[in-house]
Amino acid sequence: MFLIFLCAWLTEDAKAYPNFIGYGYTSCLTCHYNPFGNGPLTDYGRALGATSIADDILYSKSTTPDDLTNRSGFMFSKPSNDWLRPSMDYRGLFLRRDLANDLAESELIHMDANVNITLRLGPKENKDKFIISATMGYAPKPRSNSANQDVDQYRSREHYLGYRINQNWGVYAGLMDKVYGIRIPDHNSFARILTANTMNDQSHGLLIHYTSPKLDIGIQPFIGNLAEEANVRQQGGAATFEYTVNNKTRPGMSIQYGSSEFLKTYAAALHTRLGFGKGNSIMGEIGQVKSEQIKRATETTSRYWMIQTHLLARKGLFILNTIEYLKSNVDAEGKTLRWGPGIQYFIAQGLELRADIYNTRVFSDVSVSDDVWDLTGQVHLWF
Amino acid sequence: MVLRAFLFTILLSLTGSLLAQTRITTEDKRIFAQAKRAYSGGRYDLVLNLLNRRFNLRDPKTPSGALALAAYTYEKLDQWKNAETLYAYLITRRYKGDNRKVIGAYKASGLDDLPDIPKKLLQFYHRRAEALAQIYVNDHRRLRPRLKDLYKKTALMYVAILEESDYEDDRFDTIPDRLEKFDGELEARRFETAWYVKSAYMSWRDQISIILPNGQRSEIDTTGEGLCLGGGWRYENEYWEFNVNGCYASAAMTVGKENSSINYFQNGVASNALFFGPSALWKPSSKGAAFGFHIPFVYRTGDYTEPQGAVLEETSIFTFGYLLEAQWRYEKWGAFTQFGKIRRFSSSLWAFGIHRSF
Repeated sequence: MFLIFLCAWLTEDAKAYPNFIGYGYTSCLTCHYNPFGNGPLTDYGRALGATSIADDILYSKSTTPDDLTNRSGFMFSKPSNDWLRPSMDYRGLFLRRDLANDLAESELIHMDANVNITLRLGPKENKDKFIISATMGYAPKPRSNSANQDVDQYRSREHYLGYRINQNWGVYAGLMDKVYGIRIPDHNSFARILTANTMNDQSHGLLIHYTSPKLDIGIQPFIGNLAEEANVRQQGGAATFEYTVNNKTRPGMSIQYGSSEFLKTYAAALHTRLGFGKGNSIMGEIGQVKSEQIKRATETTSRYWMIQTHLLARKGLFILNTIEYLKSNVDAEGKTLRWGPGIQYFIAQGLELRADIYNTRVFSDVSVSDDVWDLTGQVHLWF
Repeated sequence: MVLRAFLFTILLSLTGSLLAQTRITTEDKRIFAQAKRAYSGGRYDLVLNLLNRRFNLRDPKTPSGALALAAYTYEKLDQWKNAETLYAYLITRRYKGDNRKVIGAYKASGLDDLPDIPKKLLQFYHRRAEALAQIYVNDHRRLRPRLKDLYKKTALMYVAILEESDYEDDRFDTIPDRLEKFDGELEARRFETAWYVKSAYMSWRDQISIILPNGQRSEIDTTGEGLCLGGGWRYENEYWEFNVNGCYASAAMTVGKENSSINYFQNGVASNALFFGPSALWKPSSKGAAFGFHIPFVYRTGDYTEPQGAVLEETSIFTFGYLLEAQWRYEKWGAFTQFGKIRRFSSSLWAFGIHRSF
């Protein structure tokens, strides 16, 4: 359990913000090239972030939304063509674990630094009909493997081709995140770790996407990340489904199956995203994961739920809270709850600051342990 | 430029209106000309002084030009009630026949069969609609409800007639939006009260004291979770909420300490707690979500078993705390979280729950 926590902090990333259902945006495809979010933003997504999401406190009063839109492209410029969309982003983390422990040290971690190029090769009237997107990035060594000199710190985060057959159907092929659950930006979340959907868990595969005003469905057979050793690649499939009750209510469900020489996993989850007023939201996911260690012939079923709330205090500034539950083994006693209040501030287009306190409490029938308090601060830049 | 043209049109039409009246003397014309000059120069007090000295503004025989100039001047001085009275007089007396036909047609069949309307009457409709809207917004607290509704309805009627006509000054377009916006803000500021019930998952870490047979005293932490049921009363508008609420919690605690002198562990200890206190919440972006503080007063008991020879203290305590609270609302239903510290508890208290208003 301790190792899970430890690794979790190193795998934090944030590009997709499903809580924007609070603004009435139900579908990820509105703002992202990837229909299930994460990865580079479309021109519309960048403009939306600049004008509607980020604060305008750093701009003069004479700055108009059109000015912000024009500055929302690569390196704060207006795109000079309609087929090439480069982008970069960086995320750094300040981490202080176990605040009550005087011996604990603070750390600064460069969590990722990515360069992306997206080619929009569709016809003139719909350039996004056919896209090619590739992201290369820096990733720090996992703490559990920090002594290993062979660990590559640069990796392809994603590379794929996407073709929108028509307004409803799209096909994507390449290295992508798996379609499962709510893609909250907190990769330290139990929901992301247990289901193997953290920052470095992309898989090569095919994604078939159906969208309509009422539905988003994704079906994704995958063969694992081809950059990994063949015997550890998880091969299988994932599927997710979201239904729009109205522009502020979006329930859904997901399933995922993966198998390698050592491990088989089955995961299923129900989730919902709810918007309240303007910018405020509650998202919840509840799921179960069964893991079979093939060589050891052991089987473990884990259960989790996650609730993340956002409250818009002023333009760009959110008060958030992440509440998580983990039962690592449903057949054993004990569980863990974590309460994580925080602040997230989009000061301007391209600059996000976030600070969270995580209060972790272990419930056990055989012992009483102290709460653990961790503090994180993040800076996220994107150009 | 537009303002200048508007002013010129007003003054030109005022002159025409004055000359059109009967029994106008040379002195009347001279004073009226002086008043117009004063109006052009922005000396509005002087305008009224001149007009009042020469004309009786309450006399039906007073020339229309003088009445209209007085009305425009009252507008400039933000004396909308006086302006409205004069416009009403000009509309219903000086354009009695035309106005009767227009209003009669409007009442009979809406905007479908309106007769031709003199341009000057349309201008007075516009000005009176503006005056009524200004009174509605600025004197809202003083107006009786029936009169207030009448003002709004009349202003909107004039706007509808103007929209249907070929009247060129389109500034009347903003009147309905301003009235609606004002009504919206008024509604948002109005405080309302409601009772509600709530239910929450709650977890806290407690602390009790154990005195061993050798007299040694030690603090023991406990961990617990349970369900809290209760309700409250809220006083709120769209920007703020103040409430008092309480709930009764039934929790299961795990207590234990193991070291060289103590080996004490107990699981599933029943603990009951009563929470009661006020909250003050701010709704920063919309009525859908609120954020603030809750100050609970807490009475907590625990059914801890005393180890043989030892004495447990603080199994029942009365204390208070300070919690951050956030809530999300959709119509009658809402969800809330609380997070903070209760004095004499060893760590944080969490709560996440739902409530329903009545």
